[in-house]
Amino acid sequence: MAGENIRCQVLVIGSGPGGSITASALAARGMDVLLLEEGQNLRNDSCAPFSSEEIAQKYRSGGLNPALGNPNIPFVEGCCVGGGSEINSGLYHRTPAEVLANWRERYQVRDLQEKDLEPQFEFCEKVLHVQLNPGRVPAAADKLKAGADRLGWKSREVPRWYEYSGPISRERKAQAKRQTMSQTFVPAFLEAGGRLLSGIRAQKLAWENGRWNTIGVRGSESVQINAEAVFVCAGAVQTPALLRRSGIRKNIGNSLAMHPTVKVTALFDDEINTLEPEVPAHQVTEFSPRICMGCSISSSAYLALAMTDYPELQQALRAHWKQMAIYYAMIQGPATGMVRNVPFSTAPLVRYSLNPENMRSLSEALRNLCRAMFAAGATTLYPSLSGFAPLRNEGDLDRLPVALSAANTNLMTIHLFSSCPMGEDLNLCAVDSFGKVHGAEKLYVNDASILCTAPGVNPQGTIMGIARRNAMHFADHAS
Amino acid sequence: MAGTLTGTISVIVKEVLAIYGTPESCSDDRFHRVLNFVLEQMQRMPWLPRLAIKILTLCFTVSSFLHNGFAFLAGGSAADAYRKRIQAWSCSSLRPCRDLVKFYAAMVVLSLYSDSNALDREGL
Repeated sequence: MAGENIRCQVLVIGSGPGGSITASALAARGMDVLLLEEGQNLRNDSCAPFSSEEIAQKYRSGGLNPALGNPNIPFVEGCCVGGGSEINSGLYHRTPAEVLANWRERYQVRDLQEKDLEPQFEFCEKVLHVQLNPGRVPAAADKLKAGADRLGWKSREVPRWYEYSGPISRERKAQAKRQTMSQTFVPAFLEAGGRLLSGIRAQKLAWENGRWNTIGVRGSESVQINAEAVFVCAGAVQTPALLRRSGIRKNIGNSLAMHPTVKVTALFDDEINTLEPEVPAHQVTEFSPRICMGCSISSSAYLALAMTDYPELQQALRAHWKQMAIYYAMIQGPATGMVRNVPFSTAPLVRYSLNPENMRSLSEALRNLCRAMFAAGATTLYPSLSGFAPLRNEGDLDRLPVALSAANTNLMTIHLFSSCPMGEDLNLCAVDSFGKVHGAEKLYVNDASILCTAPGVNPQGTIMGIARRNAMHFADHAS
Repeated sequence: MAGTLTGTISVIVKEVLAIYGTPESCSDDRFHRVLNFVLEQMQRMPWLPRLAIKILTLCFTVSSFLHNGFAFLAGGSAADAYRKRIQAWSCSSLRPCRDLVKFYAAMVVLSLYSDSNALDREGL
């Protein structure tokens, strides 16, 4: 058990959107920054996107993490250099103004007006080439838009962090390269002189002699990192788990929020699916931010997975996959989750509960999604409800319960946050308005954990904007 | 115990493969690839859900044994017995029973259809 000792000025734990942007911003300001990542440093083309190889390589625990509750909600986290940005679909939103207003008012977050975040959003958007798809829009997205238009609902194409190349026209699919953290902010961080260590798991933090000592593990080898300041950016589950292991517990891991998501597979008369792993980026915003509806990736694996609730229809799936696509509806879930460590386990226990009102919201979200699909011309809908007969027309929507039942509803999520909310209200918040942990010296959280509540839109834009704001604030006040 | 567990998982995977795949997808080669993926995924899981899956899988074995007695252990009849138990568990009123079948179905389908064009390929 050889031990390695490393010293640095600032240690950033976690290389996802929060960590990479923090590390990059601080290194660019001339600080000696070490970026620590538990997962491996993989090439962007190490596996096909959205494949089982990707799940094995880049997802924490093979993507098999349950938030225990009634119902249980499976969630996924990235575990590689770049974190969640390496596995998500790259949809970008700025934080809605009403969400920021709620955070300012209820959590007493200072300096969080739209104008405060504007320069940070602009910077991130430029680096990541955030833009609308200039090429042909996937047919599945056209269907959602058509359904929303027929119902008079607002919808929009959502920009993504993709760089497009080759001949560009609306008639053909544009060549696209996902601008993940490992392609953008991590290289910028290294160019600015930062150091990256991957494959090391941070076990514990200890405040000793005016500096933070971080104990890490690489295989059977221990690594100690001594830093003046530490930013914990390991995501909404791992960040509170690390802080709690280190004895820092006030308002930590007590308010996890998420976007519980229900899915529907839609069958149309015409062909809409080419099985290419492209993301149809349209969303219905009529009910935002309370309810958001959109299109999912409909690759072979995802389509087959979505249809596991209908084992008798596997032959139909193989016959009609070209006419099928997956759609989702997600709600702003409450901050009722808890993250706790379990003795002798590296995986924290995550609990999350939905109340009857939330189950009613999910039913409303599912019903609206189904309405949009029928308006778009879907002939049959397969909601992700076990033992539920397919819906064949709008009249069938009466069969949907007023509140979804925990017993047969299959939810999932990829959006988790709010486990260490920011703000000046000491009864609610774990960190201050700029991410500094209340009651701790030179210890910061700068990832999805500090979002006060579920934003109701894809959160990575918010995470990046706030992470950069906080990193700049730290750099401005470091002296 | 480990042998019983792996043996049970192997049979469950084979039967789930028959439900969600085609006769071609049940070839030995593909079956072993899928089985390996399922076993590897179980290794990647956090220990608590992994333990839950293992316990439920053993309960499934015991339940199959109780329903079919020693005939269940004998050659070809075992597959039929398992298939019936899988069907019974997939629509059980107990959520853990349904979740177990759903877990194996999800793992099998993920592996089987991992190739982005799998649905377009002949034989799937």
